[in-house]
Amino acid sequence: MKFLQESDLPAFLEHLSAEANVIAPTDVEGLVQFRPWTAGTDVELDTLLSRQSAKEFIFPQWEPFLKYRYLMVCDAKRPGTAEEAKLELRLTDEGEGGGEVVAVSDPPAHELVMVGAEDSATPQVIFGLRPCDARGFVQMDRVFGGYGGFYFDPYYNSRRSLATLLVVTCHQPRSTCFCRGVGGGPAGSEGADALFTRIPDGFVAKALTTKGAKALEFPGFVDASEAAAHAAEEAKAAAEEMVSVPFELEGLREALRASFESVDWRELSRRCISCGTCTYVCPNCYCFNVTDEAVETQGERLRCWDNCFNPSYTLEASGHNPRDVKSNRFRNRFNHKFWYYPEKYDSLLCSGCGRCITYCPTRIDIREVLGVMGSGVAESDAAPSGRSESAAVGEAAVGEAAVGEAALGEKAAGDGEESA
Amino acid sequence: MSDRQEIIRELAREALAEGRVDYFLGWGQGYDASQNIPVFVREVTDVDRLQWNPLCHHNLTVFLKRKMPDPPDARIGVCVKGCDSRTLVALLQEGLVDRDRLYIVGVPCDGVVDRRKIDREFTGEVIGIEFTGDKVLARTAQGDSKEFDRTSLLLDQCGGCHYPNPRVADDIAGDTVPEPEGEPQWPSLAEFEALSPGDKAATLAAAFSTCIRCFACIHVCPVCYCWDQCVNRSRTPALVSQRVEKGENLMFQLVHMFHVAGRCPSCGACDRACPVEIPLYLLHEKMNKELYDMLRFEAGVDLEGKPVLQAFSLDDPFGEG
Repeated sequence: MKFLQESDLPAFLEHLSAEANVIAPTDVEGLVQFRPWTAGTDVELDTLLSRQSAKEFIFPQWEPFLKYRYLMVCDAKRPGTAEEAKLELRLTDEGEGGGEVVAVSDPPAHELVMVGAEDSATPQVIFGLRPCDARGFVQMDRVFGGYGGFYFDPYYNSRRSLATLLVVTCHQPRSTCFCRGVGGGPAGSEGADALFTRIPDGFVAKALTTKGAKALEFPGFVDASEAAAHAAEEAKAAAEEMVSVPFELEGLREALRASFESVDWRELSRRCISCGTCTYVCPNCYCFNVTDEAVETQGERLRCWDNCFNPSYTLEASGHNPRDVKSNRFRNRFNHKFWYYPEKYDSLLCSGCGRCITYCPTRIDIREVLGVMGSGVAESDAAPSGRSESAAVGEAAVGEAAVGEAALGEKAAGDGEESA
Repeated sequence: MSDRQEIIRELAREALAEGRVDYFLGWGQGYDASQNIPVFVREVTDVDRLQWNPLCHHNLTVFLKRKMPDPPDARIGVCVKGCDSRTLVALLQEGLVDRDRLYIVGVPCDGVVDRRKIDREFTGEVIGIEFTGDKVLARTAQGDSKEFDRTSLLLDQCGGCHYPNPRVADDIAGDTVPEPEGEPQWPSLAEFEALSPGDKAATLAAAFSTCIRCFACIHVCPVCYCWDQCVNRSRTPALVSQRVEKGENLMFQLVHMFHVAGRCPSCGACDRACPVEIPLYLLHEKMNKELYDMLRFEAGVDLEGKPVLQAFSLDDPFGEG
């Protein structure tokens, strides 16, 4: 257990910045976000949660995979260009199924530059994350990190492996915090390389990994006194007390499965406006899209964040959209976090930060939605099973507050929600 | 205020009891006493969930726009303030909402309190806000509390509001409020308009550098209804890049501004939905000022009118002027 004087924090970050980019929560005109730290910038730790987690520093909102440029342009209005490009169509060697027509150009008609994963990977130290933010990275690691051998994302991992997460335990959890409800806590250490706890005159810090130990080699750290260590433990216990457990985790996965059609998702999602705020402020959400963007003869292949509330998120090229209505998209968010992901990775895709509640334009409350599931919803007779996801959910004649009570009234199903 | 609340509840109760509406859309309390949310009431026994107080900022007509009513042919009771009613008028002008399926309760408005102004007064988490006369008492989870004058907390746009009374309604919740006379004023723009062109560009660039493209602003906008056909997301054509950076973010917002011009009364719903607090309202306010200065046009004030960009008149000014 080490101790760092509060006044030595800038020197500590300065020390770290010799070998890595330092990222810390900063207050820019009242908006607290993780930003690159430079000497002289105040680290804002009084605000419990930044607007977004530090997710974007490991999984940026957009990044290029490759860049391309056409070297030869066939332009009917510019004589000679077609000849220059020497484009030909050739038939490849005939195989069993016949040959294939390919365009061959000599000299090459285009240039492709792959953006290597290592190109964007620089060592980073992220200071001031909360335990829920760090847990978010652990959940994303499972997806991007080749867990189960499906897929290894070199772009994510090149940044992740070079990042050191210095987590600061929570001092005054918000009313919307529910980390304890999802298996974490305001002093949780999952994903952290070192855990810092604020006490009146500084930080009590504990290294949890070799990366964390290396960060704590800064000479400003001294061995924590017994009193300091005790104060830190008290601060952690006090924070722990303040976080409520709003819903029952046990049996939740099964409850969600049972309520796929029996719970009135249309009623639960009424006030949702189908934007992506909840997913973009979430430390766990990782969905992305890949798109080519071209300007004249050159372009880029970009990966950019996407979200499951986006009406075109599941839109197929045929025009069919398996989640074509808002309530289906809404249901997916909760099912993904508490059923599908857990089924695959044996962990939840939620660390209980509560940002999705606080920043939802209509304050949709994940605790309330899951509480409905956990309240022992009986399968409604009105809900036929085995329907496609885009089938309209049987509508129960109940107000929002009463949704999920076992004795749901029935109303004619099939007054279909218009697709959007 | 509480009188209006009682009237809203009574009107909702009657409409539901008589089967005139499938559900009634109003405002209610969110997860604590400092939060306000849209509330959908389907049962007479639930009408007491409806509230009216200066936190009722939501423009509920967003739930009437294309693809929102559920089921699509629902008969809906809806509460509108002055600014909300103007977006409803815009939707009606375009024939996008079936007037016959609406029961509109107009709520004369004394101004809406800016929740963020209250948040900025405290370091802790505000969990309770109470209104007594013109006083506002806010308290935090940590036990701090402060009293404010309601007028000091109003949204900036309320200062320039010309139409606090609903422009369309079947019933009115209480007496109308006095409407300001004279030309519309744009007090919130004064600071921006005084800047040099360079400073304006810098101000916009800084404001839009924080955008996270969550699209809350366009989804919460009642007169922005293209959904999956939105040009800001479209790949074919790819007019707005998916690169989330200040220039492209500004481009995205300018597209929104132009697309809702003539239908947007600058109600500020976009602004309040923004999780990173970009002052989006100012863009729309600026457009409205231009429209007024050039064409003497105000969005959504007249059911018989047309959105300005859908109307052509030989008297329209051309070029400067």
